[in-house]
Amino acid sequence: MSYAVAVSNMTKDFVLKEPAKGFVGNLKSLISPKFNTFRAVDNISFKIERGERLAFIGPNGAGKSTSIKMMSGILHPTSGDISVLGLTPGKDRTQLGYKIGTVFGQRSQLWYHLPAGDTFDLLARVYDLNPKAYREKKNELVKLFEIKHLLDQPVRKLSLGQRMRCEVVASLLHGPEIVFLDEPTIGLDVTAKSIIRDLIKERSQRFGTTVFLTSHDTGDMERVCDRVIVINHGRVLFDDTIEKLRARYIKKKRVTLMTAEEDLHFEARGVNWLEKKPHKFILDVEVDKTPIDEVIATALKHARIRDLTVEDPQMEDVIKFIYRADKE
Amino acid sequence: MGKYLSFSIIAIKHGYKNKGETIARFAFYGIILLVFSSLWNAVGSEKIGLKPRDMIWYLAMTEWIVLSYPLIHTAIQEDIRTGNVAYLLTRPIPYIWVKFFEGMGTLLLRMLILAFAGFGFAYFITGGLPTNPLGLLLYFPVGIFASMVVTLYQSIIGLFSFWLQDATPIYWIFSKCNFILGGMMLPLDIYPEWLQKIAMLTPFSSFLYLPVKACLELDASLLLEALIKLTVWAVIGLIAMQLIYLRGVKKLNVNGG
Repeated sequence: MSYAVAVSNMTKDFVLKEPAKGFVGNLKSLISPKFNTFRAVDNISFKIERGERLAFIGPNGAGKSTSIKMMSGILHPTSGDISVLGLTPGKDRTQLGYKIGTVFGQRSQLWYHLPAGDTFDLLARVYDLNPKAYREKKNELVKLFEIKHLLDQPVRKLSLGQRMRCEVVASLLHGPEIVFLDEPTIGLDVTAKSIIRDLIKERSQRFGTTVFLTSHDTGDMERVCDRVIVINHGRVLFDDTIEKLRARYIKKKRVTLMTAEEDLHFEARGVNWLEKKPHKFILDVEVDKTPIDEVIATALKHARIRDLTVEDPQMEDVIKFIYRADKE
Repeated sequence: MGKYLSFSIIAIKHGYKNKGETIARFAFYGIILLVFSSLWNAVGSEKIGLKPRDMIWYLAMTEWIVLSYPLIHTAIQEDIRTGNVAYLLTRPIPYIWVKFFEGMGTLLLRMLILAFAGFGFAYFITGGLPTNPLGLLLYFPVGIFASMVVTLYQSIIGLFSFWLQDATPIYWIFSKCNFILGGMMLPLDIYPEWLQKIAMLTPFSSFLYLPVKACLELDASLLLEALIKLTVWAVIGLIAMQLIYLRGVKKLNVNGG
C-alpha cells in the first residue's frame, strides 16, 4: 500500500553552544566554545494512510514542530528515513512543494499591507495554476471559508481568526494532497477555533486530503482527527485512535459554572470541586463516573445557570495520565 | 520568470501602500543634500576636480542608489527570527530568489520616487542641471543596473542570517565599505593613489563611483569600464548567492522547532 507519509527512525539533534558565565568564561568560550547536543526528535516511526487525519500532539518543546518541519523538507533529519507522497522531503523539496500545503499558527504568508486576494493571486502564479482552475478553486474555498467580505481588506485590518481563515485558504489553493498544520488554532478564541477545525475537517472529508496536525490543544485533535500520536521529549508515547485515547486517558472534563445564586453545592460521583467563589464554580468531572449532562442537570436543580463552559484537560494532564498508566 | 516577476510586482504594490518609509527617505535625501551642499560651498570642491554644482550632483547620484536599495538582510533575518521562513521554504520556488525579486520591486519603486526627490533637490540647491545634462539622462539606466547589483549583494549578506541569525554586523561592514571604497560622498580621485587602487579592485567602486563619474563626465571609456565591471560583479554575485543559499538551507535552524 502506498502511504501518504512513512517515517522510519526519524531523529533530529540540534547542536547548541554552551552559554558561558562571567567575563573569563565568555573569553574562554570565544577561544574554545563548548557545544551540547540536544535531541529534539528521538527515533520516531509511523505511517499515515492517504486521506487519514492524524493529530500529532504533545506539550511545548515535545518535538512536534521539528517533526513537521522535517516532513515538509525545511529541516534535515540527523538520521532516519522520511517519505512523503513517495518523495524524500529534504532532497525533493521543489517537487514536494506542489503537493503539500502548510499552515503555521501565528505566522503569516499574507502580505501585511495588501488584501489577502493579492496573496492568493501571487500563489496562483507560484504554483503554476491554470487561471480558470484557479478562479474556480478560489471561489469554492472563499465560499466554504466565508471570507468573501474579507478579500478586499488589507490583512493588517483583519482579526486573528479572520486572518487564519485566509491563511488556510492560501495553503489550499493549489489543491495539496497533504496539509501540514502546525498549531493552526493557537491564540484563537473559542468560536474562531471551532470554525477553523470544522472547515479543515470538511475540506479533508470532501477531497480526501491527508491532514497532519500538530497541537498542544486536545480539542483540535478531537474535532478534526481520527488518529492521534502523542509525543513528549521527542518520543512516541501513544499511537492509536482518538476513541482509544479518550477511553483510556481523557476521563476528565473541567466544568465552569456561573450562577445567579451566590452559592452552589451538590455531591455526585467523580465530581471534584476545584474552586468556589460567589457566583462562580469550577469542577473536575470524571466523565466515566458521571456524564457531563447529568452534572449539568444536577446543577440546574440547585441554581439558575447564567453561563457554563466545558473544557478538555490540558495536554500536560493527558501526558501525566499516559505516563501513570504506563507505570501501572 | 513570470512567477519571479510576480514577487516584484506585489512588492511594488506593498511598498506603495506602505508610504511612511518612502516619505522618510524622501525627507532624509533632501536634508543630506542640503547639509553637504553647505559643506562643499564652505570647503570648496575644486581640489576634487569637480565644479561645485557637479559635486552636489555627484552626491545626489550616489545617494540615489544608497537610499534606494532595500535592506534584504533585515527581511531575511526577520523571516528566520519569526519562523516565517518555514512558509516560504515549502513553496516550489527558491526562497532566496523570492527575496531577491521582492527586493527588485521595492528598489524600482523607491528609485522612481527618490529620483524626483534627489534630482529635484539637487536642481533646486545648485540652481541647474549638471555640466553634462545628457549624462544625467544616461545615469537613469546605469544607476538602476548598479542598484540591482547592490541588491544582489544585499541578498548575499542576508543569507548569512542562516548561520548567524543576525547579519547586521556584516551589513555594517558592507555599508561602511560602500561609504569609503565606493566613494559615496567623495569621488575616489581625492584618495591617495594606493587607496584608489585598492578601491578599484573591490565591487564598491563599481557600485557608486564609476557609474556616477562616467555619467557626470560623459566619458565613454569610463562608462564601458563601469558596465563591464558591474556585469562581472553581477555574475560573481549570482554564483556566490546560489552556492551560499544551497549550503545555508542545509544549515538552517528554524525558530519554534
